[in-house]
Amino acid sequence: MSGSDAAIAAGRPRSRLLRTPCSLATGAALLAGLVLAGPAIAQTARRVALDLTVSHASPHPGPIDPESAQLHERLRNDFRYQSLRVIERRRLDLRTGEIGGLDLPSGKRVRVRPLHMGAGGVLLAVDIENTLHTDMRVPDRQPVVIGVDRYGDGKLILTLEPQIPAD
Amino acid sequence: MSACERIGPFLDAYHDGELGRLRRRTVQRHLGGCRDCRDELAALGGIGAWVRDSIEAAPAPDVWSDIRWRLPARRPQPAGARQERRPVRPGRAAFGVPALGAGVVAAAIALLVLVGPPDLFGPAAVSVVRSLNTHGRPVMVLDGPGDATIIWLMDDEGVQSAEDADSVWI
Repeated sequence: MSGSDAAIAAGRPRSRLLRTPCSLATGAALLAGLVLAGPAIAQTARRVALDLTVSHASPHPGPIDPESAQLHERLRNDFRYQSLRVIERRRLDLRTGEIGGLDLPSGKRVRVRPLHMGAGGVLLAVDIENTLHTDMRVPDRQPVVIGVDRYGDGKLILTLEPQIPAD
Repeated sequence: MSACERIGPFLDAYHDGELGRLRRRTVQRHLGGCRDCRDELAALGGIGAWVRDSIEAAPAPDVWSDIRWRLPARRPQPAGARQERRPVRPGRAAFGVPALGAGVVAAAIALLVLVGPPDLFGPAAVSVVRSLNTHGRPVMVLDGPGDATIIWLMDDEGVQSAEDADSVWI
């Protein structure tokens, strides 16, 4: 029998010294619960800004649109084309679970849905009608480039870039 | 021109990590099926190690022995000298265990507050793409941490031209 058990058995109150760690531990456990539950509660209110850009690359000689300079830098080593232009830009401001989208010039509908936001970025479901369905964990401000379909003499390219606002 | 002849000139750059992603994949694919090129790559690695060993700096001069002679000599302790020990109060050991537990929990909470809660819903972002359904169409994924992820849906001509090329016609 420990000292505290003996004290209880003897009908004496536990000493203040021995009660303190228990209270501390309980308080700490409550605090830990709050810290862990906090993000889950906050998750319902979190939003993400998604920049969607539709571009068109063509094998025929032409200009590289200054607006697509960054995309050109990303693609130029791996893909061959001779002209690149931005067709449309759109920013979607979405809550987790909310669906947003745009129509490609080919007529296909693109739908995006942020599923969760965490330390690794935003978990994003992307659906391009009858073409592609993908789930991705995209870090903040890291672009995803999707070469979609033939369009005209070249290819449609969709770029998604999430921007997660700081808490 | 054989596949080895096409890949050979890139082995050095591949070894040094200087190739673009698509070319790197082409080389990797070839290395997977070609023992000769793997041996050549291993030889390149051996050369690199030999060069590293040969340029390693000579051992530093023995600075410590130089300093040691300048330090005052350590005073010898008297034979009877003992370290003072603080008396342990009764009940202290029993109090220490729960206090230690509370301390560990408090430290864990402090860590959680400082570093942030763990991402319980997903592992660290090593690969961006988690699942992919292209309705049967061939696809090329260039995915890596810290770089743009590229998902490239291809048609059949694209697949054929990508087999040995360093870049693909869009």
